[in-house]
Amino acid sequence: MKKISLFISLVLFFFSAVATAHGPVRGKLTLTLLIDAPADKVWDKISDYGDMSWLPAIASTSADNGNNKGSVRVLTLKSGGTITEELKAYKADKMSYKYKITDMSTVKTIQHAGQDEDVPVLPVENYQATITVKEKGRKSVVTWVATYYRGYVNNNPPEELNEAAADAAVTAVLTEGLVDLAQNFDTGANSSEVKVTMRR
Amino acid sequence: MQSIKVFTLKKTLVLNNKRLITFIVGMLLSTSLIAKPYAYITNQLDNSISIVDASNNKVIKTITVMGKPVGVAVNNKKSQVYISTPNGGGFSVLDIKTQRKIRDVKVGGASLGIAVDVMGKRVFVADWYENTVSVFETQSFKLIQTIQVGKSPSGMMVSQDNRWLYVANRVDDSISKIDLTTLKISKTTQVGKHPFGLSVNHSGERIYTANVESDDVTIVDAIDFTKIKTVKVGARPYATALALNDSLLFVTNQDDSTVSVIDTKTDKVISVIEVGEKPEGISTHPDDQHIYVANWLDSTVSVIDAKTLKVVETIETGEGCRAFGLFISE
Repeated sequence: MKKISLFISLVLFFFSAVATAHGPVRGKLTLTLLIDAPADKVWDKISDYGDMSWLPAIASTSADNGNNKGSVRVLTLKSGGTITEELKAYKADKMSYKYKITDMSTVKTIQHAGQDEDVPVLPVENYQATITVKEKGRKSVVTWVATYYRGYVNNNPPEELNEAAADAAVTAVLTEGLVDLAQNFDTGANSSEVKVTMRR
Repeated sequence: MQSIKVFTLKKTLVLNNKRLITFIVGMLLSTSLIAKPYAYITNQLDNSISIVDASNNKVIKTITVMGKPVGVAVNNKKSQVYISTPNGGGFSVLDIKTQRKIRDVKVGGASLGIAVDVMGKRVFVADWYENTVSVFETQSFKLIQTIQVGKSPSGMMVSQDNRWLYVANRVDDSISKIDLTTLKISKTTQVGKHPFGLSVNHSGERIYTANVESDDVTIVDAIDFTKIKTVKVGARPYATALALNDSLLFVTNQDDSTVSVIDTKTDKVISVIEVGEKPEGISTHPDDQHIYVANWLDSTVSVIDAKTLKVVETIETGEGCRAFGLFISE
């Protein structure tokens, strides 16, 4: 019994050491897309926090408290994983909401620096994003700003959990989302029109 | 030949006149006490510093400082500002009179927290990879000593009596007090998870740490170095600042985009103020009433009036402003 609890506390110790060590730097990824449709129409498509059906990678969404602050939604991906998010702010008058990832399922476990490392669906840490629709004449501009750290919180990350992996994964998901949203109004919309700015 | 000599002489005279005028103007300024306070805001993503005239909250100048500038320490005695540059492995020195960068100082590793002693004679630089605090003198910026501290040292603060330097050891969940006479650690104590910024009050009796991972503030008795209390604040608190005779403590909550206000008599949160997105560095104006908060994601600075507990102004800065430390000059 003693041995087991020692083992567990050792595991916990290593886990917490890994989970709390710093080194990575927060990145800011901004994607914008001009959509050929009025802002209220575009907002109407995305305004329901509990409905992410406009994002192609999502199979289903369930939110426990609608568009109210603190509402937790679980996104089930077509690939099978899940992402749990919490609504941090919802501003209907500004056509904007902000959410944060609180939990994710694991895609695979890798060995790195002598330890098991879980690779989550999105290989990021402390992810928060805001999506906003702004009127631009008769068209609208959708801006999606995500802030996050890379998935690996120690120095010398494995390639599955480094900055490049994080940036590539988030850029892909958000770009796909914006293009699909735009295609509701303009079938010719494509990813080359999405402006991506990464700063770290 | 002769004409050149005459020319040189004239030039010298002009220079001397200029110096004399500068001297006289300087005397007038100092005697009439109209030295302005300035806020030095590090824009991490832009590699620049926004210099804000804190008497009217206008950005007067933006200067380039490479190396992802983060930390700020103002040396009022020498009219200098020190900016830590984690990617530059050291710090930059700015001159307040000319508002220019005058030199870079190499430290090694990744400099983060930075502080100056009360006399303005020594600058302390925390290195989050090397787990050290390096001590430099401010005359020629020679390294005096390197002190081994806990893991990932971040925020630092010097007590008003100039006896102690407090440092938050982020990954060790602890803070240490360093004796500024011997430059050795005198005591270390556990606080909440991941202490980042910290404040010590003017009487030198209490220390407040913002604990990023446990969403709280630890209040520590600065003398016997024991924990007095833990106060819950918002999500991922970053740094702290005291105002109104140390009666209020302001804490930036990065993930809530708010500032929690703690009454330091009752140690209770009395207000939560909405600021910009990802608020980080926080510092008090020399008037002891206005609090400046750098909002990393919005690239703005919110100014809070400590009497009304409202944001009274929002200043546009550069991208990714952090301003970690005491960033307003007197």
